[in-house]
Amino acid sequence: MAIKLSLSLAALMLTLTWACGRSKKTPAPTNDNRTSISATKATCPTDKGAKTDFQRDLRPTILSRCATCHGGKAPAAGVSFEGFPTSSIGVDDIWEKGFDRIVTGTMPPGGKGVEACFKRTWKSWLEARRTAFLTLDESPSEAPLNRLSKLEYSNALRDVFGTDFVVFAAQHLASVPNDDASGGFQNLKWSLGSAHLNAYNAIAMSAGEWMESDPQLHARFFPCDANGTSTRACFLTSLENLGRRLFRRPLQAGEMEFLTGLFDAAASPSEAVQDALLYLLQAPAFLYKIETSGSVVAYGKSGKSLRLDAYATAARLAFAAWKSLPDDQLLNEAKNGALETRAGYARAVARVYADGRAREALIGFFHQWLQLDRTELVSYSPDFLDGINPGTLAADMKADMSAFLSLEIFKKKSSLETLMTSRRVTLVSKTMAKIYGVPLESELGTELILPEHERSGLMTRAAIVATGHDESSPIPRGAYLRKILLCEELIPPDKARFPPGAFTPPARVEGVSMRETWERKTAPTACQSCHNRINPMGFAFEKYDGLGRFRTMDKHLASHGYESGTDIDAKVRPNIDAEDTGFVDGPVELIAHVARSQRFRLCFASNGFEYAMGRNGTPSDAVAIRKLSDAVGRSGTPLFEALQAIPSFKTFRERTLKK
Amino acid sequence: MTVAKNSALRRRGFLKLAAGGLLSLPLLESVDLRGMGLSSAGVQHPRRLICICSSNGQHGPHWAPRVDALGASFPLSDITGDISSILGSGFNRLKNKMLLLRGLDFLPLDIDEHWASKSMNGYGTTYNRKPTLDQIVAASPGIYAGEPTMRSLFLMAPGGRTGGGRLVTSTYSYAGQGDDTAAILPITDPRQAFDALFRKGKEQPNNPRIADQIRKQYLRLKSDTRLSSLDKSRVALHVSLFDDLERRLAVRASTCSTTRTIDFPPNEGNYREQMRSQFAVAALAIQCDLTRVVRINLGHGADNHDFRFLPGVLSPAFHETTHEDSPQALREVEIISRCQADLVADFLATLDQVEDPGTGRTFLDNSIVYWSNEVGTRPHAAPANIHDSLDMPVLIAGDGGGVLKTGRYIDYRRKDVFKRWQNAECASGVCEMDASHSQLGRPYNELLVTLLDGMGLNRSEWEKNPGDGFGDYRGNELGQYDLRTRDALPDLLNT
Repeated sequence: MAIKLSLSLAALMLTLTWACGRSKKTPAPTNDNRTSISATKATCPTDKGAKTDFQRDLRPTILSRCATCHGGKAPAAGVSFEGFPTSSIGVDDIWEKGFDRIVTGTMPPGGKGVEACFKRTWKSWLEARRTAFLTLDESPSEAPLNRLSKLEYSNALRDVFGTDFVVFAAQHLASVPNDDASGGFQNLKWSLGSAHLNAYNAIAMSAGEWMESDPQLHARFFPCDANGTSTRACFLTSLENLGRRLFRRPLQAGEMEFLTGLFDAAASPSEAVQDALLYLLQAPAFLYKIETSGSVVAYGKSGKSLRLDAYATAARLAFAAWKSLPDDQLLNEAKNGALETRAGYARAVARVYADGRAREALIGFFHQWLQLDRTELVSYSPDFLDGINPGTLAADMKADMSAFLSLEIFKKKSSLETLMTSRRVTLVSKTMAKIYGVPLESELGTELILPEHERSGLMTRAAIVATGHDESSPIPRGAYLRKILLCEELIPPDKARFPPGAFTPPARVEGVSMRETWERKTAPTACQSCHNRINPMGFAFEKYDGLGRFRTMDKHLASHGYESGTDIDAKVRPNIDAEDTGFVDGPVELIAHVARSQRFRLCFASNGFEYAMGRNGTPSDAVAIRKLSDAVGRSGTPLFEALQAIPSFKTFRERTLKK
Repeated sequence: MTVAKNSALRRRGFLKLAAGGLLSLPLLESVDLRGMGLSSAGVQHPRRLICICSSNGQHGPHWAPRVDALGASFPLSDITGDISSILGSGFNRLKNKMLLLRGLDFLPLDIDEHWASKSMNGYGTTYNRKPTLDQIVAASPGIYAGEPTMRSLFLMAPGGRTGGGRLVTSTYSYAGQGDDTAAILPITDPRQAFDALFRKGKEQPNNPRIADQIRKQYLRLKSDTRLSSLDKSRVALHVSLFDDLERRLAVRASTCSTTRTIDFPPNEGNYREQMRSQFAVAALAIQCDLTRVVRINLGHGADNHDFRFLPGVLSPAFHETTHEDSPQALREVEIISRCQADLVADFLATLDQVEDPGTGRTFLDNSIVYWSNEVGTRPHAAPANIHDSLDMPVLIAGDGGGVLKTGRYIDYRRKDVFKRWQNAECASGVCEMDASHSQLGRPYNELLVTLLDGMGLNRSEWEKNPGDGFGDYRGNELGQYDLRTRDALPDLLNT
């Protein structure tokens, strides 16, 4: 009996020892019920308080959880996580965006979610990366050769020859093809065809014809002799000055020699003028922005870049601010070295931006950035228009936008945030009065304040919210707003992964609001990866009908007239930043939320930068764009003033050399 | 773009011959047949490629005969009367010179529905700038025996989709290699297109001394060591286009004759009048051998022209109508599509009326006219356009100088083989769909390879590596399409 008891006790002791030993080695199960790769490993790296190392702490999980789709030869949506991040953080940084996606539950697809440790590790790493990014220096960037855009070309002719020549050559100018705007702004993408060469040739010929059609015109450019006979030296000097303006630099010896030869061979001064213009207006130095002159400077530890010479800098300044050639004063400042001094350059920048052409160019930026030409496509039903003339609608909306921009940016000197939230309006027409719900007897040109809950700044103007047809179109609106405000390019879905009919627009049913119609349609998980970002923007803007009029009811227009409608529910979760958990109600609150977000400021800065520079941003520009984002986001700083930071960037005065 | 050697010497010599002032441009009742200085010596059957691109797709029952004749292949002459309600009487006497193809599916991932150059380069990805068929052919050294007046001509009706953006830029052609391409924009004014070809009016050639100086400066820029290779290719394109311009300025096209005159519409005219003029200019350019590559777009991506000048059409916007789900909308789409088809038929007839000198065949015979669309054929019910790229509507006319076997209707859809759909809602991956979309067809890429082969290009001119094929083949994750060889369509080419 005692032996049995001892043995039992011993067995019990052994069992207890074994069980306790095992329990020390086996971690307690976590509360996270997701499939976890690291759950069986030790505690999360961030819990240790040490600095997160990308290679050690984050990359293995990213490769196993993300790179199976976002990797390989054909990564999903063109985004690959197999590489390594750079220290620069651009507006479309995939590591920032990837984090957003997993926090908002958009990725991984299928609603599988990720473990909390993964999120914390990624967040910790991003925070450290952002901090490091703030300390980086600017770097120069590439500058692909490009021709003058159609706008720059036209402005160049206007500024050199005058508006009367632009009128004279209007038909030929109209035949210059419109620029490829697929890069975001006109002419960021390269395009050239026979139509361009035809037009340039025709305009060069008409310039000579025009100039020689009237002795006074001739004298304007060749003011050599009141009797109409020009001395050779005087004439050649005038040609040289004309050439300097058009080429944005002094003529080289060979060029002047050629022009002299033309003059000497011509039968008359008139023929010489026409020949000279044929040459000057078709030469590469006029048609192209050639930026290969300057001095090579060291950059970084072992790099080299080209610091542009004064003439190339003057040209960049003029194209950035005016979308035109530098004037004589800028060229003189280039010649006398003023642009090489800090004070002289600052004075030049100030003068250039104070010029009326800078205002015109900035209004042009908004028109292009906001794609206001979309307003030209209208097909409203007469009942819906309620007496509004569709023929003048597009023009009225654009005029309203231009008036708003002029008022806010130049008169009120508003900051970017104010531009996005201001309720001011300058009435430009009765049509706009009708759309904005302002009394029709209000005097045109007066400055009014729109109701607080109805409009908020730039993005609630009619030109932005009008859809072009009777329906409100929340999905295209939402996609447009995300692209414009947050620089989000939404990749079209792979249709093979969706059932038949997935992309057929849903029919409207009586009693069911537009929002509900689309919520049902886009409810499947496969749709939500994009629609959980598109839909909130579009639904918040359901407060505007297809014409941009404010409304509280969603009425479905049937062929027999309006049906009774449903109250509009515009409360949404914006899903702009990763930690966006709150709700906003309607467009005013949404826009206020957007205006405060870093993402929006960065997107705006990125667009402003590209427009000024006349090229797409590259990773090398990230620091410059970040600085511009800080400048435009500074509370109380007038936007126009903030944008004048661009000519001070290193990438403005330098460029990398060829690859 | 190739630039012929010794072009400077040839140009000067030619200009000396041509000196004698401008010749006004009659429409064109007399004189010799061939454009001056453009010899086709050694090329008995010069091949021409004419690409006509439509938008918004086609509605199956309107477009093609016997939509349920899956997998069928028969002579078009077997069809008594009109081929369909869209392909009307204008096509009847050309049946033996045509190929009507069904069942060609676009494979690419990220198919961007309205992408008007999709059928020109085989890519559907948003903002793709891959080289298009017309530009690849135009750049081929085998197409032109001498220096052409215009290497390629790209025309389109004005309007129909304003406001920039991808629906406009999707309509461009692209020239070059890889992704470093130049966008080639269409000429939308027929008068301007005519002037560009024939330089009617006061314009004179550039003073040769000036032309030479300009050219030298571009070449000097191209040799700047600080320019990247991309920049240099841009300058090279400009030089090539400048040379084309000089040739156009020098050519005296009054030596070309035609059996038709061009009536330009007063002011802007309506869509049909504008397109008639564009087709007339294109036919003239072909017949005068001023170019051998033409692209004509019947509209931008998601073409939204106003066709209310046609009886029965009430909607002001073509694209919106194709998405409407009503009998009226479907009827209007039929009327509009018929209008566009009639324009094509007239154009084909024009080409077929005139003999290609010295060949015993007509200009149509010696051309490949390729009429395609940016989206597919919608099967049965309304709306007419559902944005997919399956069963793309294709009509080919002309046999390219005898290289194509024409006169047939061919349906590449396989009667008993169904497409599989990668989604959870289709049990075991097979979904029931409307006929014409459920049956497996052939990759559209094969048609594009056929056209390039038919134009006589060496594959090395457009294939980076042998066997790569043409266009995007990535949308075949379920392995449905046989891509073991990325070749041409079977039995279309005379070998």
